[in-house]
Amino acid sequence: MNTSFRTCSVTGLKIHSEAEKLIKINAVTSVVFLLVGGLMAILIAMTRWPAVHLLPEDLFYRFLTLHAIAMLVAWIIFMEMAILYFTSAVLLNSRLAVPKVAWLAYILMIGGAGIVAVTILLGKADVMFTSYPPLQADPMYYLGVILFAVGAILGCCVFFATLIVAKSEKTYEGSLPLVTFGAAAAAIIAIITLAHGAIIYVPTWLWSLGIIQHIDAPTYRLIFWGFGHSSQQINVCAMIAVWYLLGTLTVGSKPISQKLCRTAFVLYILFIDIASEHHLLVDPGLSPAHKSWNTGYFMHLAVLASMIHAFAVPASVEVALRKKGYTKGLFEWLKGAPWGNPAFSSLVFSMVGFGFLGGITGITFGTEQLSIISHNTWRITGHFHGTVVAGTTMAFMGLTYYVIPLIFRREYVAPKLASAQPYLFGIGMFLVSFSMMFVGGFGVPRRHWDITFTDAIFKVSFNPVVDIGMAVFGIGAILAVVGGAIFCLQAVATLLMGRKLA
Amino acid sequence: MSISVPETYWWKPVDREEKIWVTVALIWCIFITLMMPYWHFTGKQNPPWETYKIKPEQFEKLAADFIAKHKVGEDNGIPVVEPPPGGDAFLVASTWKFEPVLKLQKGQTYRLHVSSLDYQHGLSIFPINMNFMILPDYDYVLTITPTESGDYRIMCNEFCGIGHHNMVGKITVT
Amino acid sequence: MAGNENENHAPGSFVLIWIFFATMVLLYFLNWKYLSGVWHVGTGN
Repeated sequence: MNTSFRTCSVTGLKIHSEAEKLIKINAVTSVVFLLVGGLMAILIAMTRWPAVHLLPEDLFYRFLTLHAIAMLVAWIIFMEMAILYFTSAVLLNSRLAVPKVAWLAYILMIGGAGIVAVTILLGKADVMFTSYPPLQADPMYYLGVILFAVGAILGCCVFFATLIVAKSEKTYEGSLPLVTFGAAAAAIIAIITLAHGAIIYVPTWLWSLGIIQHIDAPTYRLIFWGFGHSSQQINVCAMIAVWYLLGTLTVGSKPISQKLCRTAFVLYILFIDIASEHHLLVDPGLSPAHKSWNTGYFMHLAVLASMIHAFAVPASVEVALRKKGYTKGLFEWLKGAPWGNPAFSSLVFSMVGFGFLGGITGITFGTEQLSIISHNTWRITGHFHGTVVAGTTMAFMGLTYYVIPLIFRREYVAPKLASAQPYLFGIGMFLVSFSMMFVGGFGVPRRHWDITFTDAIFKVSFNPVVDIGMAVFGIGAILAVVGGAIFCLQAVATLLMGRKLA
Repeated sequence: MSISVPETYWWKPVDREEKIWVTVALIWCIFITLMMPYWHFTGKQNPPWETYKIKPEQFEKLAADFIAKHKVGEDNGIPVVEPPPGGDAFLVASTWKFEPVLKLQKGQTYRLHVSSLDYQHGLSIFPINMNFMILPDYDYVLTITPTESGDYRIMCNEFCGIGHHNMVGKITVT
Repeated sequence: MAGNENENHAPGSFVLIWIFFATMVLLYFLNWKYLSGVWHVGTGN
């Protein structure tokens, strides 16, 4: 077994070389998928903006499917694998348990994601991320998703095995660090989520092969969302672990009450998966008691957890900055914060975007009756671009700004550009998310090639204010994609050409 | 530090400000949970739950009988139907059209049966922006009362194949 | 600072969190207002 270590010159942590290699390969793969998803993003955004209307209809729906898979699944889950290996092996000064299994996990995931992407690009899976039956994709599409899910489950198992190894080899004493605790919560949610994926994708795959005759639409919807939405709950959990991590790395913050933060993570584990049923609020079949119970009582306990973090993270940053001497008035600490550090500005954008754009709209649209005025409109798309993009993606980008010097040991090729990047991407995404929700309120549907309805038998004309909203969306999308491209190019160029750090 | 083993302050009591915030957050979560049953008792807009299993052929036949009985004209090749106030009405979704065009009366209540003959579809009433799912094999009964007269559209807002964006139906309320 | 038993006093964040809360409450009730204006719908009303 390979158990060679190096010591990090900045943090003093012992880093296992196998763990380091796996963190690198997962992080690089995830950025490659971000690049693919970003390219799709600009193409579909420029099609939805009626003033441009770039792509033909079939390519629009095809690229929209690939955009969702590349972003929601590949970019985020590969990065989460890197985070799981980092928070277990690196933060606990341990060796990574069974690196061979971790490599197998990676091969299954990259194989699965590759098969899915190629099947979509060949035009054999124009079914959107949800792939609702009876709409059917090529069997390879479902097989790819299954392989990816199995790989990700293995990755989570390696994480838990590493926690056990670290405990038994006494590489740390006492309780787990908060960030590792949060990552463990994310990994538990991941296993529940991926199990839902396997439960629903295996029969759907058999159905696409003709072995099973029929898939019941509402049953598919129920179990699919146990995968489809819960996978975003892994993101939330991992993102919040990253918030605490970035708070510590950028300003040296400590959580005010670890007890409370950890309780909040446990609330996520217990309640967040059941909350996936808020996708079914205007579906036939389910009773109102069932809908209210699962989206009310259970979801709102997960909401409570988010609200706890929403105060705990900024408060810990404030306390840390006050200790550095920024004590005047209520907000001097904000002036003293390291706004030029891209990891810090990413953290702030991530928190504001997740809370003000994604969070409060999620609570609202996830209410049983309020789903009537939001279900499948562009309001929903705006909501999850607030959570997943402005929130999770920005947090992960911020983390990458630390991973590059700490793990890859390279100096940025363009540090000034790095400082500006979060502002460009963040403001762009705020405009995108806000304008989607704004025009969605006028009934603009999601997943729609032509909201001018040129070829439809009955004409639909939106309030003229929608045109302004669409223009704001288009401009926001361009800013965000430029910001995203700068991030990807900076990361790649730094890995290839950045000056090596000692 | 959040990346290191917690120090002893881990056991210290929660800060007062944090306590206040968490208490308010908990009360808010309970409140927004209670809003849902409250609106079921007092509000006029609740997601319907009346549902029957039905084969697409059966639903198509029920709808065809309904259209034949109450047809009053045609609009762009789609039959226009005036259902009796207080009675049943049918709306059939299939790739990529809604049938029939419905003529409803303001303030009257209808039992609107919706189902799909093929894929999953969305029922989005424009411009008032009300949205429901339409699933194959299930007859979803919306007890619906138009409260304002006007010319309304039904847009499909669930992806149902490449022609999805052209799937538009019509309701007029007088 | 008074009442500062843990040196964990965060008055600025305490103000920010109420701004957040007010935004959430406002958005939530605006949506109920929006809902109350649409057609009546339900089961057997």
